[in-house]
Amino acid sequence: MEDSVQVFEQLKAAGITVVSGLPDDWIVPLLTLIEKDPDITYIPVARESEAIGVCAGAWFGGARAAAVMGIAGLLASGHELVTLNLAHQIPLLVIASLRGGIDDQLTYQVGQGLVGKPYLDGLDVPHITISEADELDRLPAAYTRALLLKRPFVTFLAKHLLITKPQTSGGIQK
Amino acid sequence: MRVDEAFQWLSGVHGDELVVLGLGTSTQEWHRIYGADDQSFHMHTMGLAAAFGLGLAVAQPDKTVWVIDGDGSLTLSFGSILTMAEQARPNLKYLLTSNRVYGTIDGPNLPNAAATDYAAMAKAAGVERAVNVSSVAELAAARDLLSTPGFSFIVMEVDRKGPGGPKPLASYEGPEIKYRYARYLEKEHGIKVLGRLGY
Repeated sequence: MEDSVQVFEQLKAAGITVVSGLPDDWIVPLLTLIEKDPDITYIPVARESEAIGVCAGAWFGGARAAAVMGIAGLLASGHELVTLNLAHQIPLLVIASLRGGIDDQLTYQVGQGLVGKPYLDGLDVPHITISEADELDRLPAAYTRALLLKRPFVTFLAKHLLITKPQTSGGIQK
Repeated sequence: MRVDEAFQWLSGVHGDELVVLGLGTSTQEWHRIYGADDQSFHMHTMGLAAAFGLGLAVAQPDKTVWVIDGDGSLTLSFGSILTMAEQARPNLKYLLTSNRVYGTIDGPNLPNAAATDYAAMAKAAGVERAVNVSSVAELAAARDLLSTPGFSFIVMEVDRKGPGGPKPLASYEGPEIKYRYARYLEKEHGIKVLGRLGY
């Protein structure tokens, strides 16, 4: 099966029609599927925080939107999550790769993995982690959860749900 | 041109366009001159009005969206020029209030304030309809950029100092801004923002 297909299918099941994001290497296959889909408008951005704004504007426009990024993008978007989504109570579904864990051999992802979840806890932004394929049907519920909470709701995805190829970008083995 | 002169002109030609306002001078001047606070979204976030307006324009391609932003905000997010340029949404009009300072706090100059040419930056990114205007007459001459389809990037060069006098502040209450704008979009534009149960 092509990488990220099951994640993509659940985004479709959630009725997502606007996606904005910035890839890391695990997210590339998902964004490739999204870009090819004629029913989803994909807005690539120069910095992840822009995706937060795009999704908020799309929500006011009546669309179901999701921001897709690596966990590093969340760290770069704290100001926007706080002063836009939390301050105005605007819902947002974020799909993020859970980098920096035991399945990630890139040294420059370690920091994000260590502080990512505590960082969101500090912002009072709820999150779940999906580690197995049979849990992916929680994605539509995650969107509804964001609506109910009126705030960002982050769904982290494990590596093997996004990409199955060996890492090549900077994956220096010792 | 004074910022209030530019906003008076914009207010006079505004019709049914959806309006997104950058934090600070843009919000407060539009509030002071246009008044109807429910008919615009007031950003709390510096640097994000462009992205927000782009998302609104994408979701509502048949509505024209005005983003009225400040150069302090744009300076914080120059990458959004690239994002808007690539999208080139024909229903998106980006209006930049360029006073070269952090005006709301009577603050200091922006970095590189004397030299930055925002319209040239947009043109270099591929935006064809990017202009600088320094007077109300020049702004009026650029009206086609607002009234015809095509992504437009209009830089309004205004005085460093605002008009002075009393400044009735717009509310900064985030949930109030959200719900009144959502209800306005639903009632006046037929956009379904909030669900049947109100969330």
